[in-house]
Amino acid sequence: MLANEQLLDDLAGAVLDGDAIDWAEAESSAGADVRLVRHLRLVASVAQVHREALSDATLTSSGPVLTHATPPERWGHLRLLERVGRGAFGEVFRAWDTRLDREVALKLLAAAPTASGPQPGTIIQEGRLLARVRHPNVVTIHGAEQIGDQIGLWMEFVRGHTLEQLLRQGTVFTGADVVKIGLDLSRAVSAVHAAGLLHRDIKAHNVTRAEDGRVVLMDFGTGKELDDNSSSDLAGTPLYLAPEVMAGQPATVRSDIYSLGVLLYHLLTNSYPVRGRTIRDVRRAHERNERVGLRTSRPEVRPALARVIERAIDPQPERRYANVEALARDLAVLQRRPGVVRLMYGLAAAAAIVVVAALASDVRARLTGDNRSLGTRFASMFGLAPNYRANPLIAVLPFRNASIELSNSLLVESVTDGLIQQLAIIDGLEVRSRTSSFLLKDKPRDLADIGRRLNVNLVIEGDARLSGNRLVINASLVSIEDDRPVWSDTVDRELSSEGDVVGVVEHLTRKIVNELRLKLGRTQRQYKTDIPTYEIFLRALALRDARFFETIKAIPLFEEVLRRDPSYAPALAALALAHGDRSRNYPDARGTATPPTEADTQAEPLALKALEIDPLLPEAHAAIGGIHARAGRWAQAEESYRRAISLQPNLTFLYGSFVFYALHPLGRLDEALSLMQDAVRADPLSPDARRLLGRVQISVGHFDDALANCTLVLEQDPKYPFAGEICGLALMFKGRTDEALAWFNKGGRADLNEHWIGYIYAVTGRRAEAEALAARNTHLPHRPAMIYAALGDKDRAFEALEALALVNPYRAAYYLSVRELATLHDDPRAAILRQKLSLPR
Amino acid sequence: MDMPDDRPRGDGLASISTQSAEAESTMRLLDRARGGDREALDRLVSRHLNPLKRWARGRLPRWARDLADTDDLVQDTLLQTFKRIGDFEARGPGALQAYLRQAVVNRVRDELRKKGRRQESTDLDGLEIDAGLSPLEEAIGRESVERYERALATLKEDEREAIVGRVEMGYSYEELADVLGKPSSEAARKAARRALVRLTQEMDRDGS
Repeated sequence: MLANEQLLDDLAGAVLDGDAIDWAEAESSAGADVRLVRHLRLVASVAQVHREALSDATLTSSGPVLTHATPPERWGHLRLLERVGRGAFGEVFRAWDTRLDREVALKLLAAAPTASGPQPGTIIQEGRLLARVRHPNVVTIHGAEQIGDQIGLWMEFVRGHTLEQLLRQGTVFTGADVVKIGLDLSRAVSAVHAAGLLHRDIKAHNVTRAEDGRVVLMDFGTGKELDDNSSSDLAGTPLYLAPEVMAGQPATVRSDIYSLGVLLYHLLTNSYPVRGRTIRDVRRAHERNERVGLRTSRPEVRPALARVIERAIDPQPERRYANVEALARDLAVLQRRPGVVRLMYGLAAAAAIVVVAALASDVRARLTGDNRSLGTRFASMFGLAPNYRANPLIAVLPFRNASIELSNSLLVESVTDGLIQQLAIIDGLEVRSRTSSFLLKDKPRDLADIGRRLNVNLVIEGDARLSGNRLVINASLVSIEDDRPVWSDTVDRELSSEGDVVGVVEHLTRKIVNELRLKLGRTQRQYKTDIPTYEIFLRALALRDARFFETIKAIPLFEEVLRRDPSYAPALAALALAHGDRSRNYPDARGTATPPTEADTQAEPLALKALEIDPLLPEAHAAIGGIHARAGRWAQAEESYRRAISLQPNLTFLYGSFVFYALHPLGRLDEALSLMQDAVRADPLSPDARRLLGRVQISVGHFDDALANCTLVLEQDPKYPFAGEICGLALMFKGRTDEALAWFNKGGRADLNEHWIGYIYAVTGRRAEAEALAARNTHLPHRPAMIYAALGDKDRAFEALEALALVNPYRAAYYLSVRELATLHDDPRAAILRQKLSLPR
Repeated sequence: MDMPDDRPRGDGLASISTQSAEAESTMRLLDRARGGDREALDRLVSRHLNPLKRWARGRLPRWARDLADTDDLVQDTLLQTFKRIGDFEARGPGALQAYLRQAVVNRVRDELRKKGRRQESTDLDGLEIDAGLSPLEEAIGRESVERYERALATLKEDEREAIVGRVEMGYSYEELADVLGKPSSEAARKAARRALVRLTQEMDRDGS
């Protein structure tokens, strides 16, 4: 009964919305309520009769409504408010549509035919054709009509500036701007082409950037039907015209692509690929193939972007993109992934973001042993062709009930529902609503038809079966284009009691969707947390990312976030990481660090909960990696970190964790070095990445580089903690011990640096002072370890390391790999200790 | 490509995605029109013209529609009605919409009388016109129309107006919210949906 209520409600909505409904199917699934469905069908017929009664041209062609004479400030049903533009063939007004009470733009042209201008009949006809195009990036044409001696074309009024105006105002478009604009316009032109039309006048004057940032393709005065090959009048500005059109051939999809390419070229360079002051000049330049390469005009344009644009404006039509969608796909590849990149690097220049993306891809490739070209990897990273990769539009087909008992249909429906809900959390994925999916229930499966009707390129289909207490769900992701399964999975779980069903369905659908996120390359999920909570979270992240050693200050903020939203997985993971990091230097001079076992008691449940909610959250994997490392499970630690980084290669703060929790203690210093170099290249303004790079450079003996890096950090922030220590270490190893001592003693930080101060005493012959420092620091075993090693007293050095290994095994492993203790590396006792710490030989 | 949305099908012009800040409510326009505001009058006529045309075209018998240009008749009726709007008292949500339809019916009846046509009386939303079938009756049969009418009559006025406004007059949900006095298009949509479910139940009761 419940299911039928839902059915009736959905059908009623569809009737009122005027949606197409498969009545035979609806009646067959209504059971006892079939009569009610028939009544609804009757009402749908009523609606249809009335719709058809007024579907002809009467609405557009009925003259002015008013009974009095039309005042001069009116045109038909439009009240003219102000003139906003004047073009070659007419004027444009802001106007008020009194029929529909909305603001419109009215383009008025003289109906008297002119030699060069468009012909009146054609304009009206074309206006009506163009009214078919509905796309957010294409201006919506409302109607076209002739009244007296004027032809009016009225359309959506878009507030903003044309791209040409913006250029003249001195706007400099970055590569990223142009990629975004190019992508929006490709979609717009694609919609025009899909309607069977050509635009034929794509240029910077005809594109408006609305106040809300939307890019809108305007002005269709010369639009022509796609198959109208007869005429070849020279529409469009010559500078944007494809050479073959200039030579008298008809316009095509590829000539629109050419103009779009010129527009993008123009935005980047404020110039044109083929130049000339007159049509004759331009024609001659085309004939002689005199073209200026994009990078000649603006050298800093990324080669990849230049290649895309050059292909669009290739003089040979057959070498251009075959259709706008192909151009859009290539542009989509160049567009950086939105989301966290922006969050983490919001302050860095756009150029840096490009580096982040490229580098991240590179790093991930290295981590995963991926040897494909950078371009190919880019493609997989951002999602390239086939179409669904660039812009996945997904519908969930109603799941089939594979149970023996038919009474489980409600359960099966809840699986469909659950999937739709879970899919909605994937960033950048459009999911069709429940009603749309529902209308397809038990219809013959015609993928092409479904794709068209729901405007999707992917569907999820499958079945659910309840056998005994076990719910089993089979799900496949199918690409509409070729009816090919892209992915499939089976999940199952025991139902423990009746009330458990919802939880199990949620668990299983979440599992499916999380796998899908990986498959689709869209690993960002959305969280619905409130803005104040999110702001606290951002503040905490900023604290953590700015100064690794101050992670501890972020802890109460993360805790506050979780008080407000206990299931906010990023905060759970961040807090887990923070607890782990807080134990890293235990025992420390100021007593702020916590013992690792204690830290992990707190960190582990947090990290596990985060993973359960969001198995693809990179920070959660990193937190698990840290827990493994502190427990001496190095292989698992490495695996977790690699997974974290591959999930989101541009989260460079993870690199530092990976290096210091795994690669460095494992003695894989070359890998550590290269990873930290990547991190700094990706995030050149991060003092922490640079400081950690300096530390690794010391370990591999690149003291000058380390010195340069710590100096850079201190130039940015003279008080940056532990940067001075890197300088001190570099100087110490370069033998400039006095300068090194000055750094270690600087700013009242001597108490934090007694191990290195003692080390310098030891190597400069101040043996007694060194011994004294070691003796008074037995509670901080790394200090005597370092000082005794410098004094050549390996027995006591190992004794101290053993003591350290008891309270903080991870840290003992790390110290075994640092340069300060290099004299111990080959000692047999080091091998024994390594074995105890589960480190490889 | 043809995604479900809340636009009435078949004419792109009737779509209003958002109600403009300048779009005053019908009630406010009525107030202004009563005060002699010509522009308010224009806008009232403009706003309700197409829905009423749509309704009349489905409801009037074909020969009646041939008798005069229905569109002109509807337009003129609207104008005259709004000019005499002082007589009208809004008795609740949707009352104006019903009133306007009644005015069109009355006007058609007057026209018929002038032409001296004999009328075969049926009970169609209080109409006493006919002789010959309306497009609606042609499409779904007189009995079905009557059943639909009877069920409509059992509903509360705002329910009836929600259905007639959307199904027969083709108001967008924004416009429907305006004539029903609902706070939002979503509220109007929900109301119409509820009313339609109620209507089917009434139709069922009628038949059993």
